[in-house]
Amino acid sequence: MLRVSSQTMQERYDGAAITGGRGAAPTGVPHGDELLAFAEAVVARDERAIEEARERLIAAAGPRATVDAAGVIANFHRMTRIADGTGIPLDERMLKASAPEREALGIDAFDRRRRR
Amino acid sequence: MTDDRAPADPLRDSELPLRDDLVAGHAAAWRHVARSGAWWNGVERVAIAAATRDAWSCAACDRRAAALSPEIEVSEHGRGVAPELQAHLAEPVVDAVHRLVREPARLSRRCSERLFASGAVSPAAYAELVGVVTQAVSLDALHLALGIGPAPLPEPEGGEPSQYEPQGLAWEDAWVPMILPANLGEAERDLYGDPTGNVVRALSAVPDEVRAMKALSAAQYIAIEQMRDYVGGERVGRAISRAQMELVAGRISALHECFY
Repeated sequence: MLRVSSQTMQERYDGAAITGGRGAAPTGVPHGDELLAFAEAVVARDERAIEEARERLIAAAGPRATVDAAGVIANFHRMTRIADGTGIPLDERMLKASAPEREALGIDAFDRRRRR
Repeated sequence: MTDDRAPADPLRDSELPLRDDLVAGHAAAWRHVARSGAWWNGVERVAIAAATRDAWSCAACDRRAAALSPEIEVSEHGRGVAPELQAHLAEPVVDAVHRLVREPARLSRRCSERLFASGAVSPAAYAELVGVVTQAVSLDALHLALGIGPAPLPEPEGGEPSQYEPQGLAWEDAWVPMILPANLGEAERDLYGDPTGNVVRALSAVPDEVRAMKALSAAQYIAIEQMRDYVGGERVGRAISRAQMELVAGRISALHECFY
């Protein structure tokens, strides 16, 4: 999704920012560092870090963008657990589409066969 | 209830410019949690949401998270949130809730098979449990992100579980049965888009959980019908682009070590 949307917007992204996090690689996305910091703080459930990251994102991108980023963060707290909790396999369509990213990012290391 | 902004909803008091559809989506999601489902009644569903909140501070879960293997035995889980409601949940159910909240990446087929073998939960009831837990986790995550105190748990509604079983359920490679797109019955024609990902089908053993998941996703993220809009931003009513959304989504997934 990120690859396609970045190409559509003629932005250059580096997938290492996804696996490595803030500072690992340029995100290639406007306010990418602030967005990553916000996401990472919420996953860590560190209220002080969340407040700092939220204020930085508000200053950089505005309050509406911050609310929408929080919505995405919340949504993927749900979707990841639906996938992990039900043991669904990756769809054939997504397997094909994501092959370059999985290889580049080493995502295949999260081999679901190990979860049996 | 017709007011989508319930008086007790702390989202309403935020100084941040929350979209009306986001606030309404959260209110609708909590009402869904409070209603009797297919396999759990309203009391049990709100109890599952209470257990979801307890998991974050559960000492037994802390010990398991620190252990090399998620298979270690732990003593009783904490039930500090709404204990009178959680008294309706068997210990294997609370354990399943806590595992899903705290260590989703360490869940395994063995965990679900052991749960089903315990007799505490059928595969379809487990799918509904996943639906309730994940709704509660994501509702609370938005509050946490925005520095807003948690919403009060909803008052459980009455009624018995419908025990509704949709047409076309089949066992594939997942830990729960799902409806194949080609097998959708008339009553479930609204469930899937075209094409449909497995993450949408995952809860289809309980069709109302799919509907609730789609509705909340439309409020927090984008609607399934907008998934092929790779520009995003204002054209889908959002202040961030699709690329910015997917950067956040990808990072959250990586932090959760989600294979999907």
